[in-house]
Amino acid sequence: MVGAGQARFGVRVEGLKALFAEAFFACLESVDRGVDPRAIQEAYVGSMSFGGAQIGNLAPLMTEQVGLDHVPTRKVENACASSSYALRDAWFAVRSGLRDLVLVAGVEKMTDLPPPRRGYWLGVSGDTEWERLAGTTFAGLYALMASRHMHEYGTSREALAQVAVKNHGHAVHNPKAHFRRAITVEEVLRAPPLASPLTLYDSCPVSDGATALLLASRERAAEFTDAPVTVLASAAASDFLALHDREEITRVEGTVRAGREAFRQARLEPKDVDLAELHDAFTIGEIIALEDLGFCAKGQGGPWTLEGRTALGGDVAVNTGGGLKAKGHPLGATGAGQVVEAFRQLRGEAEAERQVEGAEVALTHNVGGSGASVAVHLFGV
Amino acid sequence: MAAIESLAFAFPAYRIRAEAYVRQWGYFRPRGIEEKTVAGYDEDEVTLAVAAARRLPDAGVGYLAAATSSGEGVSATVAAALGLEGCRRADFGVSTNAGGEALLTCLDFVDARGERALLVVADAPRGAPDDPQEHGLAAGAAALLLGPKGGLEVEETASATREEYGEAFRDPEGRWRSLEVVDMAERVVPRVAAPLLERGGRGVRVACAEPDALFSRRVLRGLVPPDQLGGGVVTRSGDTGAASAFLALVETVRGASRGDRLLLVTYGGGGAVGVLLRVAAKPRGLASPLQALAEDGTDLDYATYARFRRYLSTASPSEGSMGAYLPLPAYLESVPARYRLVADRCKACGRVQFPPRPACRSCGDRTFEAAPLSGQGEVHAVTVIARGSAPTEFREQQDMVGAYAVALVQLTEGPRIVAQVTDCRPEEVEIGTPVEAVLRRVYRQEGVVRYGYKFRPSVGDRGRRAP
Repeated sequence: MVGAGQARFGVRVEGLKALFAEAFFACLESVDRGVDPRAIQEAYVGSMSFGGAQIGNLAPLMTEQVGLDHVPTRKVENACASSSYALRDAWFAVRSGLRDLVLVAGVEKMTDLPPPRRGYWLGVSGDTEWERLAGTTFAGLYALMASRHMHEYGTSREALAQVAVKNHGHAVHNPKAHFRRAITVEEVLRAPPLASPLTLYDSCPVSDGATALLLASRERAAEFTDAPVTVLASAAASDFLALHDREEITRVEGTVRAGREAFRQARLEPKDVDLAELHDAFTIGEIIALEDLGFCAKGQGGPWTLEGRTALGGDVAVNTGGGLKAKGHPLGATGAGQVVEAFRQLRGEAEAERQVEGAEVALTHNVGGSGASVAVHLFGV
Repeated sequence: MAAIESLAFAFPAYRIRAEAYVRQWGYFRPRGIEEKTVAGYDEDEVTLAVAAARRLPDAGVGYLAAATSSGEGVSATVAAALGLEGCRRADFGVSTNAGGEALLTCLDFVDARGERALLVVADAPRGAPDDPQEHGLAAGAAALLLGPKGGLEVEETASATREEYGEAFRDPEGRWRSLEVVDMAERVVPRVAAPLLERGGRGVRVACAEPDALFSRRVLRGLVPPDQLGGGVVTRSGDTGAASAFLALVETVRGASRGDRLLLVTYGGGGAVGVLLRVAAKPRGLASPLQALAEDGTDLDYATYARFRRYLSTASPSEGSMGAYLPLPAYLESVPARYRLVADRCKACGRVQFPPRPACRSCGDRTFEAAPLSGQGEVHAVTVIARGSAPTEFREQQDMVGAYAVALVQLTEGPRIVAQVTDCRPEEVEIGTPVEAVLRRVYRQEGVVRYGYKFRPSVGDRGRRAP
């Protein structure tokens, strides 16, 4: 990875095209030795086409905004995991030797719909036929997982709340984050209920945003920077879309398998990871991911969080950019956004208050919907 | 002649007492009614008919007659919910006499074919909230299994008809109205009752339609001593429309002995039907509607009642237009699963899968046999979807009913399914709560009501209230 940049996440007046451009040019600026965009050979754009404004041919429409005329491109979609799967596809292209400079991007515009439309689009990534027609929302599905996790392991609402508090605390120092306000456990517990036990503050926001990464072959990396970030591993796995088809809803099998494969590829273990971007669409997601990736034992995600082991200075610094909760969750852009955070942390370029000292290995974990698609990447310097 | 083999009934879980009306309106017009049943937001004549029919023993029937006083046909959905495919079906509607008319055709069928027939009479009549006519309108259903032989033998039937205007009619919005100036009942009912009472001899107990507590006494004055008027269900059920006579029949049978004669009388729209029965044997395990009404039920205040009845709703008829889009053909293909929880059993390895999928998850085989599930299960995980948080297609339900529970249910046969939990306060549902499946209205899209399963906390087979 020789460049990474993002547009500011949040409620933006800009539309898809302007957001995409903002991220792309931020990415270009991050390339130490500069890069001629016309040298980009292939582009992978992650997006859910939320709102339906541009469903077909979104990718070429985006790349032509920034002068990538005639570059072959495609939209990659796996709900909230779109841009990490875009990264994966780009990685395959570069590892195959057939490409040596490719663009990975993500873009999503979510805040420009009236509530009924937004409500519709927020629910399209679950199992419509059986889950949604039971009256569940996206929050409802994660709430069911939380319900079982609390029943089996005694995970407390305070532990869930602490995830949100921690991530907000990090985002205070991230100028690109959606929310930059610190919150307290009390505020989380007292926030309007969404789907018990989750409240509004257990849930990530609806955000606009865009992200862009530049991936080069090992041989060409030096053209662009002395400090490239190596993709140590790319792994992915699927799980049954509907909760009722899964053996256990207290774990995401896709995360377990992708995590195992990623560590195997990189010949690393969880304890080698300095910082991790975990998919906290809902606070319970981060807790379950801690366990599924092997950072802690099953059922220990809550205690780890409460004990500060996932804070800056802890065993592994989780969601140092604010996570989905505070940094924001523009669906298709999120996965690459996690990589932007990893890129900056590993190069020592994050804001001082949230820089992980001596970071050498970073993990990103990106989930589509309630777990049907998962991608895990490891990066190192 | 034919006979009634068994009877069953169903009421919704909700009630409203006369006092609630008095608090709201200053008075409650019907006399002799203490409380009435209220159909839940997700209930209607279809779901009540299915609930009653499912309490009957399994038996092959060649004919399904479905009666209700509304104009909407219910037999197609009832047949699908009972898994009836090869039998004849007919809808009887228009007036509260529909059940009597339907019963006569069932008896003719049984006599002509020697096969069983199934009669369901279900009603949830609607009124206008500011019309005193609305006060007594309630909801209930009865189901009768008829055959060549049975405990209640039909001895004779009679029917009569007269033109009537304005006695009871539905306005363009489907709400019952009356001009309150015409009363055909007193002229028509005796024409069926008198000859049958004469044939039946002394001591015939009468189960008559009960739109209120005074009707049967009034229309049978001089023909039947008051102490031989059975039923009385209306005092606790309210006006259950076309179903009222049959609910009265169930109550009357419970109080009868072998050898007794009973007269069922239905009335509506200027028509009356009478059926004289002899109790050859009392059907076993028959529950009492009055007892069910006394023991079960959740009382509502008027504001909640008005929301359940959609009096406060201003949603357009195309509710859920921005809801989850499941195309109609796809929904219809899944009806056996949605109505009867029919799972697939893999022919190669025996694995039971629900909902259906093209290939077996264990062995990949693609041949299956139908395996209907019992609908019994327990809550594996649960969440309460808070106000304002429902998917668009459930927004109006949530506005009217409030937060609702959604559970991941562990079915006893092995599969799990996600479903709404109904008929209870959402906080009452916990991991481990035993639940059972019921057929309910799920949502309406493109003007079409779609039915499917929900779950409610198990009531078991206490014999008091039907599923």
